[in-house]
Amino acid sequence: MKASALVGGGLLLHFNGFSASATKGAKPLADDVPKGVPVNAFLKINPQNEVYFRVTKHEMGQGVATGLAMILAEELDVDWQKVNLEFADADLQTYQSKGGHGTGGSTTIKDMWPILQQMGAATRNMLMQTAAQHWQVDFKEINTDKGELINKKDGARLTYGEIAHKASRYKAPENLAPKASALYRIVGNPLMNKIIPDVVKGTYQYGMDVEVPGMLYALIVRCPVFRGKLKKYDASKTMAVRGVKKVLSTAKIGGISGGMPYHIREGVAVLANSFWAAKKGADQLIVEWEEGQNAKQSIEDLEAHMHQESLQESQPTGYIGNPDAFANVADINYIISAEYVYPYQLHAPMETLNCTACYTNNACEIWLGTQSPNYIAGEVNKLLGIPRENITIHLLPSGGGFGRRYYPDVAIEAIYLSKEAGGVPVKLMYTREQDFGQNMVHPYSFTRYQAGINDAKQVAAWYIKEMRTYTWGATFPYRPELPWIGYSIPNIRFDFKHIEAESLLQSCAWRAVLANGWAFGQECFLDEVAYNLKKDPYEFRKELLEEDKETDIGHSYKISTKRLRQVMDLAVSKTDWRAQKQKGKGRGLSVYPYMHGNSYCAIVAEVIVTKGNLAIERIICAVDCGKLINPDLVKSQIEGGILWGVSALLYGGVEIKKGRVLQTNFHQNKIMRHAECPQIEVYFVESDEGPYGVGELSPPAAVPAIVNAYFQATGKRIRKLPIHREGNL
Amino acid sequence: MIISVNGKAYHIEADPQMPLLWAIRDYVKLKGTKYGCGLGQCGACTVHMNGKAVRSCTIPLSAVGQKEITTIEGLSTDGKHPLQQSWQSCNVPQCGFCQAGQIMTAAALLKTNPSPSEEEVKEAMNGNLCRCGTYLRIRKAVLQAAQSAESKSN
Ligand code: FES
Ligand code: FES
Repeated sequence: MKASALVGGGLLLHFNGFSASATKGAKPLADDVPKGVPVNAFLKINPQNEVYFRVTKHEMGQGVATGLAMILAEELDVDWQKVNLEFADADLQTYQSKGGHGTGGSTTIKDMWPILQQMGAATRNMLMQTAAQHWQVDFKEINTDKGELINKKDGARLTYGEIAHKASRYKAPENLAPKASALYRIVGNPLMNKIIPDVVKGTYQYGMDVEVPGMLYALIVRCPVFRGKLKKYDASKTMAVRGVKKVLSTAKIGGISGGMPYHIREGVAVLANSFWAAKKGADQLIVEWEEGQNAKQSIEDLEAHMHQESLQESQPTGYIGNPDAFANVADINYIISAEYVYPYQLHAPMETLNCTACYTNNACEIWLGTQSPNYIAGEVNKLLGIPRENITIHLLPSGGGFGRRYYPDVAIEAIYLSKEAGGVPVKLMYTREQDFGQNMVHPYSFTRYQAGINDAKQVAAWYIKEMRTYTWGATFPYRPELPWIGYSIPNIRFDFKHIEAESLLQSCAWRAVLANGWAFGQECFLDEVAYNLKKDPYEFRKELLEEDKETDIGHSYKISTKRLRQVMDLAVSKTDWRAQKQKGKGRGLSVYPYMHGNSYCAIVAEVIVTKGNLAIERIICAVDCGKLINPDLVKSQIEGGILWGVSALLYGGVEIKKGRVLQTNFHQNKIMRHAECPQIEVYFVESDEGPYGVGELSPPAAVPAIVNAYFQATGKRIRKLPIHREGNL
Repeated sequence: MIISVNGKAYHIEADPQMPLLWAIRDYVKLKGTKYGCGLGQCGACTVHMNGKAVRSCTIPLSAVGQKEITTIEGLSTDGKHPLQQSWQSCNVPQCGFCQAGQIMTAAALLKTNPSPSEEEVKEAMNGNLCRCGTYLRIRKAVLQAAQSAESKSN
């Protein structure tokens, strides 16, 4: 280890040889590339003409590292085989104007597309200028071909790598026109995800795999009840465990904070020279908690409370048409009403949360997979007083983010422990039991839907009243925002009330976030209304989407009936929708967009129910996400998203008694397994728009399609997840 | 204690009750084998013990003895095991975290059953969880690897 002075006056540790150990087996970091020169903020090219693409966004399984590299490689015109990924350190300043590091909302490819196109085109232009100078010919005489520059006059060739070191002297004109799509060689092709060769050899490095010389392993025993406080603890047995070095309270950093609220549970940390010693030590801790009010609550209490609240009078948060339609529209003949519950959900990423940190003299260095290094820097500065410029963040890919890795809590805990332990590097890990029992979750929402039917048997008014444990959506980022409803209904009203204070767990982002609950309620209730009106659920939706229009639902994107209709028609066209219904079988439809990514999705599910057992046979999914950068990786996201929804539907939810989460590990919080996996077909609406987002597109639509199919098969309506726990089957 | 991992002997001084998983990760320093649950529920920690797929998180170090351990890093010398190849051509991994375990389970299956049926693949792989939802591709890749190995041996 060696210490060197920082510009900000602080000291920062460099671990000699860290690059080698931390990236062992992965692609070498840029500095190890022999004479590789940074040609722009996103890439380096070495004399062997190998290209190193700097992954600035968090790769957590969405395939964005490869997708982004493809965009840049296309415009740059290089040999795809020679493109390597490099997981670089955070550089909050440099990348602020280049899309930043923040990753979420299915926006990565959509937002980075124009930026990387420009980067690629500009760099190619600079290399061409360099070559023109080199050959002393006019710029017009230069062309490129897969990483080589060509002198059109005499056919001479140079590789990019040979002159890359000179290219940065030139300035590229701004706003270069991107390549015509007809000329694409890389974009649009189902190429292999570049992380796979390392994954299959076991050499792809995650945060969990980082080792820093002299580090201690830490586990924190956190309060089992949300908002509980640490009263006192006895660590004498813990300290007797061989390998345990220190026991520390984390009560000081406990509490809720942040602009996008997150919660750190108070706890007691055990630091040891191995994970196993830390775990044994943690098991020996005797801790007394001030558990507080939540210790008297169960999930049933919360639901009853929400139901009570929902009966109170409320004001519209947002509306279309007449917000008092039920009272004022004269021809409303009758009202249909139903209540839907989308419960808390655990993220359960295969890689549990972790962060390795080293604090020294008002500076720190951390290693982790994070969706928002910027959020970490801000919160660490605020809570621990370390100047932002003294925070070095090494970005690693993760084994699943799903929104949970957006929050800075684990980094704050790790840095705090390293600081309190006197500057020892600390690797803080979560066990799976802690991941389930001491964590943040998808918000719980209770929603009442009402449809006002007029004399002409049309939906004249649509009311949504939602109680939710997280404000997000009604107050952020657009206001007022309606659930993402695109159907032509003249009067729509949304009354939202948050019940954060009564929540039994801290809520946070969870893949597809609010769209999960919104799609579940809307698409199932619409099915209920269709049956009530004795209309076919597809024909009924067609009526409501007939007219081409774009509705302002308070989001930056308007919602398009045309795009909804197109995905719906495409999905239905791949089934025998009109075939005679068979006993025990059901087919269900749902259509839902993901507005942050500006994409649309329709799903038809086919199920068989035999003796109360539900088998999902086939899922047909149609997608409009604009143009496809890598169709196979998009397909992969859609497949995974569907199974994400299916796990929530079959087994999700969180059971809580006396304020404690009852699920401790995967035997109690099940996720879907191989043998249960249905066939999935994915079809794309051809489009030249976009590209738009896909990571969170399919989970919301998957759940109601299956629930609607289950209704057709059994006549039973499921209004609350998960179905296995409600005794429906 | 001396354990043998990927053909090399390692002297490890640790609690004999410590699961093999942590010996591999924190003492032998091979990080390809993953922790997912520590309870034999997810398969992320799957390695081979004398050629059989086992959950390294449930095997105490003391039970390893002379048995030969193979981890994902030792599955092939060149990274070209038929499964390592079909995993690439089928674009299987998303986050990749569960995949070492998936591949080790599949490799043990193919050893005892070189041309499994789709049903046999489903059953053999049922203990390995994937939160990203790559099951369909895993199924396809195992069958593809079986086929390519078969065509090679013919
Ligand atoms: S970590 Fe061993 S089975 Fe999950
Ligand atoms: S690929 Fe992410 S858990 Fe399987």
